Amino acid sequence: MHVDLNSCFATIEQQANPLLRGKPIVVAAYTTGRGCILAASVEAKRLGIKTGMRVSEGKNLYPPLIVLPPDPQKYRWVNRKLRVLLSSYTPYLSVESIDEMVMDLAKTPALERSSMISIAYDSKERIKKEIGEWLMVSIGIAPNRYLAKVASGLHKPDGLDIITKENIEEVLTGLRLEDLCGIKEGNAGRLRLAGIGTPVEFYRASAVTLVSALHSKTGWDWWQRLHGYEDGVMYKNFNQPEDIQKSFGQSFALGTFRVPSDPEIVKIMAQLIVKMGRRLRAAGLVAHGVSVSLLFGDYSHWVKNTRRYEPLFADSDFLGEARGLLIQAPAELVRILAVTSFHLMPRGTGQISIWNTDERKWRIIDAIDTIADRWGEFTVTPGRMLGMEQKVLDRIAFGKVM
Amino acid sequence: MGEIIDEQISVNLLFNHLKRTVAPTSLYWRGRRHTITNVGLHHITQEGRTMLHIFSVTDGTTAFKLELNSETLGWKLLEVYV
Repeated sequence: MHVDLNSCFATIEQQANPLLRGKPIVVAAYTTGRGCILAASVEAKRLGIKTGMRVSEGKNLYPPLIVLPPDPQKYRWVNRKLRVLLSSYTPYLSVESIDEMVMDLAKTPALERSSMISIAYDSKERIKKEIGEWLMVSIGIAPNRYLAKVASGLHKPDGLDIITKENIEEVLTGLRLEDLCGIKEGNAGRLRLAGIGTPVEFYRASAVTLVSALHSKTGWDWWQRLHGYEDGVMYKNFNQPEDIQKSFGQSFALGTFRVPSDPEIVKIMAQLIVKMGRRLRAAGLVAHGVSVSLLFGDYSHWVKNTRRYEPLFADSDFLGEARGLLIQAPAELVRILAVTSFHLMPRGTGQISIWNTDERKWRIIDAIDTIADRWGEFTVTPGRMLGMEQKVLDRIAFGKVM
Repeated sequence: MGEIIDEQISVNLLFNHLKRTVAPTSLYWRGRRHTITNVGLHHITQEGRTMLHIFSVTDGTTAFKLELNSETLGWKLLEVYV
């Protein structure tokens, strides 16, 4: 069973502020004209305003559009409440993103007591009663996770759809190939070249035909997906441990584009590094590499990295390395700035230098982290961050909760 | 968009032991009393080790975002939306 919280950020804002209910609102990364719309309320969607549009485009469609900045802590709280509520039906719950969760109800007492449909209606009712009366979810029920997601997207908002072996062709009729999650222009083009022009033809095609059409094993994965089997590729198994983290990074979209030599860029980078360093050390890791990447105003991309034999863990180390990389960047206007640490190792492993000076540094870093744990982030900051004009805001990464 | 206020204010809070609910019922801000008619959302955040209760409430015409610091038990009006 796939549960999708409709217009997640926008609906949560309407839940928090009843004066916004029934009005076209959007939550945007920035409330200025160039800001990207992250979520549009059901009312805004009816006016043609979509996620990914610029705020100015939304305002062109509906000038009195209400634009709100994101409040990630609010959304994470609702996500946590939803997770607790759905966990009462099954221990096999997978959190796909801030607004999507999947439940495997097979062999659970909840399913023995009632049916999937009753559980779906019951969870919809409990979400309204226990989390917020304005919140709506679309639920999809199917033999596997992929088809459940497809089902959840058929009728939004507040939908409930079931895909079975018996009705799948009927459901797929009327959809375009690109309407299927995971099929974009590239795959759709390859399928059309092989004479598969609709989702129904896609479903009816044999595994061999799909492998040949998509020129790879993904054809077999798609055949399994469309026939109700778990392919083991698109989704993790339930209760599977999180993948091992290979890097920690932070990025920031600049409200005002600046050249790399602008002192404000270094201040923003210092703040990104403090956040990245906190996450890295909290995971008990050190890094042996750091990279800086920039997306320029014309959407061209620049990236440079450096590797170090000695472990990097202090914010000052990262900042020193990152500044060294940044000065090599071309003098163009920067749209997005990102810093990443990689080649991770557990703290305390690896060869210790004979001239080891890390112990003293670790004591200082641990003390600063303890202060942040007690009093909040950025209680002690690099001097570089003093007088910052622009604060790096908390964001929810795409497909993530944190 | 809301207006950021970030001021200490006075708030009445009611704990109903029968319904097991806790909600602010009125607030005093800049010499005016506002009766809270609806609590839209109550969520919890943390600043370091300090737990902060955030209440998004309205008096019917104005929406307020209130913060209760669980350590000092002090209230702050964070934002106002008219």
